[in-house]
Amino acid sequence: MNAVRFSVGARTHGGGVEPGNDIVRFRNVGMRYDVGPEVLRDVSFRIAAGSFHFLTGPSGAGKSSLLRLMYLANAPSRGEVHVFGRETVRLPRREIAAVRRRIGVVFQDFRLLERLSARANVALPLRIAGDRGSAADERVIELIRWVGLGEFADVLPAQLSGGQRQRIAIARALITRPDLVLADEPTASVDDRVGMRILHLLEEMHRSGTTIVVATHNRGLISRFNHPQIRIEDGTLVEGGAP
Amino acid sequence: MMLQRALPNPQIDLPLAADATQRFLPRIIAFMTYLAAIALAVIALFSAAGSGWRESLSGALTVEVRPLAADAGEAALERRTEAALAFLRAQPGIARAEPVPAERLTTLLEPWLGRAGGVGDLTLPRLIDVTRGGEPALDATALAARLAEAVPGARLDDHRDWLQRLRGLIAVMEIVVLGVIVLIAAATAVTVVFTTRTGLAIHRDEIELLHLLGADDSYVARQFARQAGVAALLGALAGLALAAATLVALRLVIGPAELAILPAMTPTLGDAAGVVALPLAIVAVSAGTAHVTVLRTLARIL
Ligand SMILES: Nc1ncnc2c1ncn2[C@@H]1O[C@H](COP(=O)(O)OP(=O)(O)OP(=O)(O)O)[C@@H](O)[C@H]1O
Ligand SMILES: [Mg+2]
Repeated sequence: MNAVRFSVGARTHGGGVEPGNDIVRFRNVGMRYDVGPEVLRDVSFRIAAGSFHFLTGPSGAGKSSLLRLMYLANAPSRGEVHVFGRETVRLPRREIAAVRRRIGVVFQDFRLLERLSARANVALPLRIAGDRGSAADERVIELIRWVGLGEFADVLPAQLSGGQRQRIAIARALITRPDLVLADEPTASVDDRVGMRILHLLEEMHRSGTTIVVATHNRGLISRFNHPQIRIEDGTLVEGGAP
Repeated sequence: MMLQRALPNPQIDLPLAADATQRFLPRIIAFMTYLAAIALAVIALFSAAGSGWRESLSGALTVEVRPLAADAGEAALERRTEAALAFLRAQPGIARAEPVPAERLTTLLEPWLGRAGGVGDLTLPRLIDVTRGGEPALDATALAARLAEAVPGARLDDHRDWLQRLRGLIAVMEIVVLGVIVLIAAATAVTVVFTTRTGLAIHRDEIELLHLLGADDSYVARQFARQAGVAALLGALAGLALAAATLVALRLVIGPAELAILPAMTPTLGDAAGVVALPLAIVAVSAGTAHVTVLRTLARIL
């Protein structure tokens, strides 16, 4: 489909990510937004290093909220969230930033910076990690080609279709070769053909050792892969996740 | 400003330059720089004038021989002037004593008395320029007393009172102008604080995204500091150019009579350093203020 392949290569981080360790561990976690009701209740599960999980459940069940806890955008209202073996509630601000740099997130609403070109959006995590220079630039353009948007590298997000924006968001999540990739509905805006391509890209990352969690309700896609599921309904865990 | 939008800064992820408040910043800073530059020019002028006068006066003394009621016309005044000259030339510690020619005196007084005269019937005092020199050094106070005794109507002026008052005046001026500059710096900092806080509010979502991608607070702070630095540099250069234009225009407007009492303003190395230092200081104040404001605000709201 595309001659250019994204070389996953050696990872830059990787401390404490040997297979068998838990990358993520939830213990009796509850979560609420501000003073609202609990949107997650008594959630316990673990995600082993190097695994690939689908996070499923009906709309409004709490998938995005669960992911927000994992990338430290929210704190649990009770229970414990461990990421890379660290209890997140007690982490000082600086270390929160360091943990986040090891996580690549595909946001459900993409969250691209509208004033930056596709290329600059994809390069953003590298800049934040202090990784500049021509090697980084080359990696950015290579990855943009891999998601099939080579001609759109210098275009602003506003000029891209929903599916194209989604693919730029995915490229941004993968550019630093993070230890953990959290993808929130990464195939929602694309047809099944591109959706399969995206999942194969994540598969390739997984094979190189990256831990992957994909939230989706696309049963068709899930059924083509043999990966374990974590299923939540109405804020509670109903299936999977080896507590 | 236009230039700022034409050259998007590759170091800045947040679209800060497009904010209305950010576009305002170079203009305010230009205004502040203009005021500060004019204030500094005033200081430079006064201290140059002060040291110019000090230099030309500190080695010099003036003896004034005044007409007395008892004088029978110019001849008596002339005789007393000769006596004073003879007295002075005999003193140790005096290198030279020369009468100031009458024409020079008239020229000196011209701006005040007018060219046409009125000086005609007025008997002007005679002046003697005295230059110090030789051993032992001159004791001006003792000399003044002996001179007054030897030659009636002769008075020695060593300009010390006048110089002291001049020095005091210049010191006060410098303090006032420095105070004004401190106030200008404070006003600039307050403006940058306001602009930065507004920017943080406008770009709340984008800053949250940077945080989620692993940026720490200082990464965000650097973006605001760079933006404020660029705005300050543009503003400072514009303000400096305006101030230079104003000073040149003033120089052209000011008449030769007023120029005569000011020393020749040849720019010194110090002036050149000031011209470079002012925009740099303004950039440093602006960027530093933006940086600190971001760190403080983020630590408080998150
Ligand atoms: N920012 C928020 N503030 C308050 N409540 C929220 C917020 N975001 C989500 N919720 C609530 O939390 C619950 C779970 O929402 P969440 O977005 O996690 O569901 P989801 O499983 O991702 O749904 P979808 O499949 O539609 O994306 C919902 O009841 C929702 O109304
Ligand atoms: Mg969701």
